[in-house]
Amino acid sequence: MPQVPIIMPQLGESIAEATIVDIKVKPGDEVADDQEIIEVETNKAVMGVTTPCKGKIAQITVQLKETYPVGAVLGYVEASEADAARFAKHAPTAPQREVAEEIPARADQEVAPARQKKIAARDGDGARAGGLPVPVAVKGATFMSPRVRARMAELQLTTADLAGIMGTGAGNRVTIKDLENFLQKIENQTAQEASAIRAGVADAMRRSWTRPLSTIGSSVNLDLVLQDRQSRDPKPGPGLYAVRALALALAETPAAAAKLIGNRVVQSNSIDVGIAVEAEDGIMVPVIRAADKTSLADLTAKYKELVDLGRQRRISPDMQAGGVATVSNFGTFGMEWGTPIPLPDQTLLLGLGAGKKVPSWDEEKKEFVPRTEAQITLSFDHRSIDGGGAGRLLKRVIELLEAPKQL
Amino acid sequence: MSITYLEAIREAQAKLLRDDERVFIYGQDVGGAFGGAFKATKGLAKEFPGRVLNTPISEDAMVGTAIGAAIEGMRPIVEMQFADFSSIALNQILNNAGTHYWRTNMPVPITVRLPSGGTKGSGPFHSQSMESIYAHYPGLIVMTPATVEDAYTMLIEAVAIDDPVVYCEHKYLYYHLKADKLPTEGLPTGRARIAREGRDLTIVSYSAMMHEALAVAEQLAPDGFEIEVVDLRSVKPLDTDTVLASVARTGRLLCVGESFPWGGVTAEVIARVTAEGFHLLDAAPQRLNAKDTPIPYHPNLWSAHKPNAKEIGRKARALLRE
Amino acid sequence: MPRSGRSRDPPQLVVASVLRLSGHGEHDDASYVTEEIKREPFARDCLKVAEQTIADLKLADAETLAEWRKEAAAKVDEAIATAQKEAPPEGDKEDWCALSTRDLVDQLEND
Repeated sequence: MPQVPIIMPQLGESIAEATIVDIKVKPGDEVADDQEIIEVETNKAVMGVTTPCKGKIAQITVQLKETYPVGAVLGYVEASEADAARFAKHAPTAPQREVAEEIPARADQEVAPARQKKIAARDGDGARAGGLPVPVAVKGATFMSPRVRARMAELQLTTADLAGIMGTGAGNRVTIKDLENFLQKIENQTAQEASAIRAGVADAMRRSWTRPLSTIGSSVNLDLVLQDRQSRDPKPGPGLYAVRALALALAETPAAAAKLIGNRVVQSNSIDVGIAVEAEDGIMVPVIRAADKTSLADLTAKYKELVDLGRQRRISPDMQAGGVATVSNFGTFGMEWGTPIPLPDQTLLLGLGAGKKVPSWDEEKKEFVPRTEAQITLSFDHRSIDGGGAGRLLKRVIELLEAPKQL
Repeated sequence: MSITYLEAIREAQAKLLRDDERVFIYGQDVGGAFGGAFKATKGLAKEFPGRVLNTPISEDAMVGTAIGAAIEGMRPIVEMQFADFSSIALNQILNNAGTHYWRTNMPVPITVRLPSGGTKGSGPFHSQSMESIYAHYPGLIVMTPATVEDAYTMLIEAVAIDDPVVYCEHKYLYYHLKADKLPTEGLPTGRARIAREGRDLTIVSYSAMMHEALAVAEQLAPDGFEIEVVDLRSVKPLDTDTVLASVARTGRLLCVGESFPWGGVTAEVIARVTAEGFHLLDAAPQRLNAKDTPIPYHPNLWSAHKPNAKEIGRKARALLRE
Repeated sequence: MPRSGRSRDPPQLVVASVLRLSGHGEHDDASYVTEEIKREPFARDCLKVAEQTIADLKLADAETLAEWRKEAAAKVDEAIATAQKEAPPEGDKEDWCALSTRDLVDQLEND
């Protein structure tokens, strides 16, 4: 009776091997088709290995607690001719090589290529060795040779620093000569050591930019906020109103601030919103914890504290970590709109531009009336949220800003 | 006055016979008027009677006798008629000479001259390059002089060294290589030489292939490529430092040898550079050797069997494009 | 010739000392062979000696011997002609395979 091999199945996309945790049969046992006979454990779960067909267990070739790769033979089932024939076509075979069918007689020996090798791919695509996927040789613009890497490490360069270099290597990759020429050129330009803050911001923005970021925008009528603040003491700036509005909007739809990590959508337990504070040589972004539960008055006091700390350069990294969104009021620099970059550990950044007196169409009065309007933009990580979701969030923020009594 | 590679070898032997009474030459047809199959000992038997001795056609006996003489205080130079025949003496060289110091603390100062490499029509048993085999075994020094000057100074040094030396002289270089005069001193064994300075690619080579590498460097210069050529001079000991320093300058390595491709000198160089100088490499290191078949007889195939300037040039260009 | 060579005894080793009548190769003019040696009995051309012996023992007549010579010469000529007619090998078309078991050929280079 022919024997059909029991093969360690593909257990998951990134799984290469599994450990035998239970063997439920022994040689001689009658088995049905698709009967679970062995249990294996991967780093993700315990799974069952089932029989390829009906028959009798001929042998189990593996041992408990040992680990075997995907594609390994775990044992054999003695099966009928018909069943075995089915598997002759589909069972994975050892790497196939083309051999000359017969060695031709000396007299009529043709020149036959001696080096034809074909490795039968198990799943029809990609290079494999012994059933395991083998990474394809990396060539092209992203290839960095050991020497280039070593030089970059020496100078603390990142791939972002290489962006300006036209590579002359294979596939336009940057060769060591390209890198050295580039470094030589900048030697002739004035340069100074970057401050720690500059380097820190550069690193954060580089990391943030590895994501697909997008921005949407609209306009907001600031007159209501401007009016509201007159009745408060101390007077909060429009930026703080925006922090409060964003925090409340997020409290209503916390999913809008969720992060995509791997294939999990992770939500924060607290609506912590950062606000940009200018320090001597850069922007600090301290986070206000539970901003949705912090009144505008308290936000104002907190903000003043942070500005003072910012001036004293005493805003620590801890104070800037853990937020879900940040507000940047670049309107204070006179800018009307922008496409700010969310912080690397956040997915949202609300930008508030400068207010401008503009004529605005009043549908009721059927005439243009003067209004203080500002452009308000929301940049977002497009992996975590779409334009629709971002749009709805921004709309809600605008709603809240135009009804500041709720803040 | 010009002196050929072969004449340099003869002159070195004459000097050795003259200066050191312990030296004698031992090989097939080396004595009498014949002066050796390649005339490396021509005239020496006459000038130094009793010091240039003919042996029977038994490489095993030749080396065995030489080992015995060396242990007794002599400094024999054994001339193999062709490197290929030394395989008959493998046991003597590898197991007797090579292990002697390790086992008895007494070194065996023999020098075995191997006329290596081929000439047209020399076929599978008169063309081999065996440096990779001898370098593999412990206890031996393996020299592969590529120039007339090195042929001279390294042979003199070989005899002075107390350990067994396998001296691989290249037959093709015998009459093709000429120098103006003999040097009075040379680089010590174990030091490689930068035969040509460069910047874009390092070709590490030895013996006749070194000249092919130089030819390639000339060919590529008009295209703006500066090829650095390193002449190993001795493959054991192998001057890793010089090779690494060169790769540090160029970032690219091509290693060329005339022996068979599996393992050997080129594999050894690349293994060392990859292990110790990985961060110096801007592209994967490459090598070129003879083909994995016995050396053919027919001149067409014989010349295609080993690397030549054209093939080396092609490989160098590909590596420069990486 | 030892008579036992014709018997059915186990393989025999016949050792004959003869003189090589030419140099070892093209480079060797055999100038080291003295006239004295050339006059020695063992220095005779063994083919000629064999021919003479065959004639003396009347094992074959002169005509037959001439026929044999002619046939042998013809075979040699044919072999030479065949070899000369064959196209010379070309390095870049050559198989370069030293094993008869083709699927065990070691992949040494990525050509």
